[in-house]
Amino acid sequence: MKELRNSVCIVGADESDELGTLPNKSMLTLHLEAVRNAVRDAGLKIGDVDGVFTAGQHSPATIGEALGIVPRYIDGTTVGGCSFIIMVGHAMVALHHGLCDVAVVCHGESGRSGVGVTPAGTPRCPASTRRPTASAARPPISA
Amino acid sequence: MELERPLPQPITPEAKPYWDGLREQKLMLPRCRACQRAFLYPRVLCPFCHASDIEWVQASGRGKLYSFEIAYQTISKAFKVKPPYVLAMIELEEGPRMMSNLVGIEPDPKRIACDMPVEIVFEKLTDEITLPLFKPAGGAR
Repeated sequence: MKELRNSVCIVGADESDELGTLPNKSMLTLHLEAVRNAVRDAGLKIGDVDGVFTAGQHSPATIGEALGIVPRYIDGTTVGGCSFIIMVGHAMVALHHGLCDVAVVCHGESGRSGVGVTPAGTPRCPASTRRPTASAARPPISA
Repeated sequence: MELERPLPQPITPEAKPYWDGLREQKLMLPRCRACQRAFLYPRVLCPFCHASDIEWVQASGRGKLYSFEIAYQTISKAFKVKPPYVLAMIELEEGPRMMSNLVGIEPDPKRIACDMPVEIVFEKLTDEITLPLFKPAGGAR
């Protein structure tokens, strides 16, 4: 096992351009601004990022695509508000084992304005137009 | 009148010029002032060079059929366009690719081919929303 000490370090951290109630910025924009600013803080370029770690409505694939990068490693473990702390650990492990070289752990939330956010529980189409789900149609499994 | 398609939502502030343009029968694209490349979907960073200086330019509305699929059934009943219809990925002259429908042609694999030239058709759904659809360039054949 490689020595973990001094193997990985946090080299940059930052926030979106503005904080507060921002009705003119989508959740995705808040993510992108935060990533851009944190990467700049680290003295790196977005193109250097090859690991994307995020939780919530935007998957790491969405963030990678929006950034215009093809990450070597992604993680979208979503376990509520502690997701991002858990991801710092996941990022550390990924970096330590060489799965990626520059990891970004990002979050964006349009909590007050709800811009570009799908409210929890929103069906993808109105209930009256949905087909019965496979589980509803399938008879219960008997022992 | 019952709409044939679900309306796009939400419309984010970043995409507003796109939808405003379509309402005026213009296909508007975000373009990076630093590297001069247009892209879709609209966002605050250039996905190619990651600069943040984005302008909006009007596209020609011409392109080619990059790829397509003929759908014989719909997955959602909110989508009421009568099948079969052509789900099309269009590569615009300016570079970006976008999902749309190919209309104005029989949905027959013998008549539709990748790389065929296409041009935009503006399909007004409501006073707010106009969708960009595409037809074979030079009219139906």
